[in-house]
Amino acid sequence: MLNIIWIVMIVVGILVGAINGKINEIGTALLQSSGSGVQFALGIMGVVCLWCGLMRIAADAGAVDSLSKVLRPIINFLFPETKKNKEAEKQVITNLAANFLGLGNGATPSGIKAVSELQKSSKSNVAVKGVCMFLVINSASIQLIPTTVIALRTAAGSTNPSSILIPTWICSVAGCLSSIIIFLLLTGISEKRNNYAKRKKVKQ
Amino acid sequence: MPSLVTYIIPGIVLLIIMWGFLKNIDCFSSFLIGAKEGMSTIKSILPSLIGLMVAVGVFRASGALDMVIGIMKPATDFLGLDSQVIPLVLLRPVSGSASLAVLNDIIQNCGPDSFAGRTASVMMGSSETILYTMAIYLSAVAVKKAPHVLAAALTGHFVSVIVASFVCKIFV
Repeated sequence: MLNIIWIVMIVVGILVGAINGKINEIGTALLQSSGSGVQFALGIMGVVCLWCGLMRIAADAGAVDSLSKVLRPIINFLFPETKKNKEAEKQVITNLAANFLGLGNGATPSGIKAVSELQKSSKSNVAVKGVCMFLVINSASIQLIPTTVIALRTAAGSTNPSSILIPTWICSVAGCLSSIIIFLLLTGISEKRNNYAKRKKVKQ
Repeated sequence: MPSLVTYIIPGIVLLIIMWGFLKNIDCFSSFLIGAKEGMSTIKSILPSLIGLMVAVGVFRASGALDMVIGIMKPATDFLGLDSQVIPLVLLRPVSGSASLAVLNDIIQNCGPDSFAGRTASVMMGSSETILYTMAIYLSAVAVKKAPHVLAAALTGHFVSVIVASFVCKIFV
């Protein structure tokens, strides 16, 4: 999908630019934007490394374990199978805690293990409800500190880069809650439909 | 008297380092390990970033971006959004690097502290690249279908767009 988007943006951009008589600007943009990419990376590198370093200290000091204690009841509620499957519970919690602390890359291995554990009760190639719920929660990024964004704002000269902190917390919680609610609604509706269809079959 | 929010980041830094010290961690060594991981993350996204920044730059320079924004403006004005954030709304669920490139573009064009800049920043930090996440996890367990996930995730994304705009209006 990214391939198509990338191709479309560049091809349409160049063609539209040529038609609009902006071919000069296109040429400049091609060369300058590539430099912007490097500038951007350098600009955010300081804050990103600072934060990754701090989060590593927190992780080594047991931050993930402490968060796990808080998360456990919520996870048991959203993923009923974790009451019996303790390995799944551990991996789901580790993944969500790591994402919360901004340890993005460190979260992926436990995420993969979590999905494997949750899916192993089924042999079909359709994801079980637990795996779907996990994906839904992962799609809403609730982070303590959205480091990349703050780094970007700092590099761009914002007068108060961290002013977006509380709005971001509010917004990510709202997004997460709404997606969980919609997911449970949609799953509930399709389960009722399936049960109705099964009962109809039995009656016949 | 600086606002409460400005105490948050120094506060967290203080908390983490004190905690590490009390737990007898060699804080600086841990810091170095984490910082190196941060560097390698940036190094790994750099090629993708360059590719997307060029795409976004060309798209904007051609006037095509403004055309797309113009087409969608009536809808976004109705919802109370700044039309400048439209590219981010469209690309956020699709690609992380594209989102960063677009966010950077919006901030360069509108300023980091403008309404568009702040809304885009909030939007960026409050949702995730759903298609990429799904691809990684589903392929790891050889699963092809995940019922209702996309619908729920896109709803969440849409809600966070509206809430971002709303919250940025109130928290000036």
